[in-house]
Amino acid sequence: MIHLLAVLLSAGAFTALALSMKRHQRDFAGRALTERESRLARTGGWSLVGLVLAIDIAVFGFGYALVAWAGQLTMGAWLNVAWLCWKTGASRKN
Amino acid sequence: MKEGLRQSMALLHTWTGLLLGWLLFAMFATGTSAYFQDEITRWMQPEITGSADPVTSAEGAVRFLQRTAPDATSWYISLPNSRSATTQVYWQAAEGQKRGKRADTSAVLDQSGREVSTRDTRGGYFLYRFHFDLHYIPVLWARYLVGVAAMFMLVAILSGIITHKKIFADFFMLRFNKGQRSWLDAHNVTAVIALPFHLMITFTGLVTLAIMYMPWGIAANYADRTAFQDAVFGKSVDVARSGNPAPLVAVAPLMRTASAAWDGKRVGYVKITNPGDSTAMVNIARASEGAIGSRGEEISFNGITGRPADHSMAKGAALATESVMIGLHAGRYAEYGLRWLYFLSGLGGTIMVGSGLVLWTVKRRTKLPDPNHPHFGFRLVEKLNIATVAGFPAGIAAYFLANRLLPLSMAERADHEINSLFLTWLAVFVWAVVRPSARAWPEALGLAAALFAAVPVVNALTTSRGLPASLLAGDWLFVSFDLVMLVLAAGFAKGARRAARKRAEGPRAVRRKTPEAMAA
Amino acid sequence: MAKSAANARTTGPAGRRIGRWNVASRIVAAVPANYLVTSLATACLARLLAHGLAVNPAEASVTATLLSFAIFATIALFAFGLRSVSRLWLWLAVSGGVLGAALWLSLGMGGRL
Repeated sequence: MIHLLAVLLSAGAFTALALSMKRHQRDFAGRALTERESRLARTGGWSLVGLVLAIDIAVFGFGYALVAWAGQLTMGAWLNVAWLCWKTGASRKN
Repeated sequence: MKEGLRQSMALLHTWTGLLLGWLLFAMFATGTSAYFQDEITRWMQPEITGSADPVTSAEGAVRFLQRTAPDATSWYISLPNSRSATTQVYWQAAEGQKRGKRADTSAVLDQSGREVSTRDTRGGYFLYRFHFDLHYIPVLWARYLVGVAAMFMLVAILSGIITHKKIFADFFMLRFNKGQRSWLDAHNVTAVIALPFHLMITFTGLVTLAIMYMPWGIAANYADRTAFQDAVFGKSVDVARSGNPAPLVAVAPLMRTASAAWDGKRVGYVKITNPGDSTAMVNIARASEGAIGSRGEEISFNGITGRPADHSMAKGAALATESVMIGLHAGRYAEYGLRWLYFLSGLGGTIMVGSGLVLWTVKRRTKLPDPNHPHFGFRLVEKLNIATVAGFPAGIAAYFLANRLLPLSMAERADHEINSLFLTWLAVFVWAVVRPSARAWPEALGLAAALFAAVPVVNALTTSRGLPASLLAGDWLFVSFDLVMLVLAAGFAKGARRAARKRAEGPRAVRRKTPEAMAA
Repeated sequence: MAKSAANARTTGPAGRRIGRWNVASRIVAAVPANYLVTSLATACLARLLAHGLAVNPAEASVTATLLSFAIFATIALFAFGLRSVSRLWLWLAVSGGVLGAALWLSLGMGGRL
């Protein structure tokens, strides 16, 4: 269960990080974000990445946590790719 | 200068990836399945149910061995872990006795020490061993070949990173279905997203057999290998039997002592030398699921008094690193959540290798002087790709099907299960050779899809543990196995449909060159 | 010119401009010569750690062995990354020679367990 939570948080982290980059804002948010929103997204994204690691360390202990963290971030990234594919696919049909 | 470096790295990436890509694909596929080797074995032995307690199992195994091989040189008892239910025992025949076949000096036992009656199969263990020992060829050659492939993989990964630095900067541009470049997308996405996994698994894979591939670091400091092993693992003095019989100490208390010394972690195996003799020794090793490091702790006890004997050398930084690297590769320490992450990453790696292989032909097809009559090398790669990317998974599905369909009383049944894997693989290769590639692709992928889809069906028809029954019983192992088969079937079916559509669209679709396709 | 050379490279073995001997000699450098140099480097490092820096010999040997794969991969990349083949072979020959001599001297002093 903890893995599922961590994967979802990682996915959120990647989405936030993508939002903080100008060129991806249209894909993810549908519009350009303001300077302040971008900064917020960047801080939020990195904090989430850190939070996931912190949760892992608290639950699993340091060594195991590092491995789990890498795996969860990977799956989080996968979720982002899947979501983007689904979105592009859906918009193409419209 | 910079562009030149990128070009030469692209060249290196292409060719190191291609040359051993087919072997790497098979290694990735079987290695990935090996993360669930215990579960696969349980699925392939549907007669066995329930779980087993290691201490009770050890006592049962000792009773069995005292009956079966009382004067053996040594007994080796591999205890059930949290994922398996049977005990595997091996014994070494007494001095002077003829060494029999493997089957004559090993047995699979249940918790009470009775030999289990189950169908003859090598289960998930075969897939695990194939991952580095291959099959039909001498193990030593296989391991060198596998090592070369792993080194090629490492070089392919590193040169890929140098060539495609831009992809990492454009991390969020990664997605599928961008125009006609689906193979390139599949390769990029699977490669980049799981890059830490790919680097880790390749490097640690080399480390698992490091002493074989690079023996010179040890040879520089030690005149022979055993001197090194004695220094690290403690002297393995083979004491001859004294001939004075003495009753063996009870193993259960020793296991509890050992477990307590390891903060309650389970015992993985028990080795007893000279059982029944006054020189008896009991070695107890920690289960590999207890910690990341694979070289588990071990405690030796006197086999009569039960007093602890000497320990192996305390690990320094390098030995601990090596142990952790091997542990990271094998993932035996991972509980189910992390195990699934390993499995999915491995699946991604398999797709990465497969899509990379296909990419080689996709990129070259457009540059062929006559795309309808490609030269021999191109055709060879194309046929091998079909045989490997579609045929090898089809073979694995056939291995599972054979487990359910071959008659239970068949002689050498386990070997025939394995043969069906390779016969299916061979059949797909022959099919790929005789058919035009554009047709063979959807057909072979469709076959793989059909075989995987057939696994849960055949399982339901031939055992009482089909998908509906296991769902009702809450038997998640069987449920997951059947579901994974269905997901794989769906994946291959999707691939087959795409390949068929591509054929219908004709070569025009592939002809649209993109800058990325040119660069790589 | 740069463009056409790049194209020739991407066409692979069919491209004439790439030079078959150039590639062949790089392959020899990247695989057998590389293995030789890496082995020497690994052995030298194991000796250096154990006898020069008084690390436990088992630890020293394992450290060197673990690093050997990184060394091999790096040299393999350089074998194809360096522009000049003669410079590549010069590097390999010099490092092989120096490492070989160092190992020979070190082994001559004894101390193998």
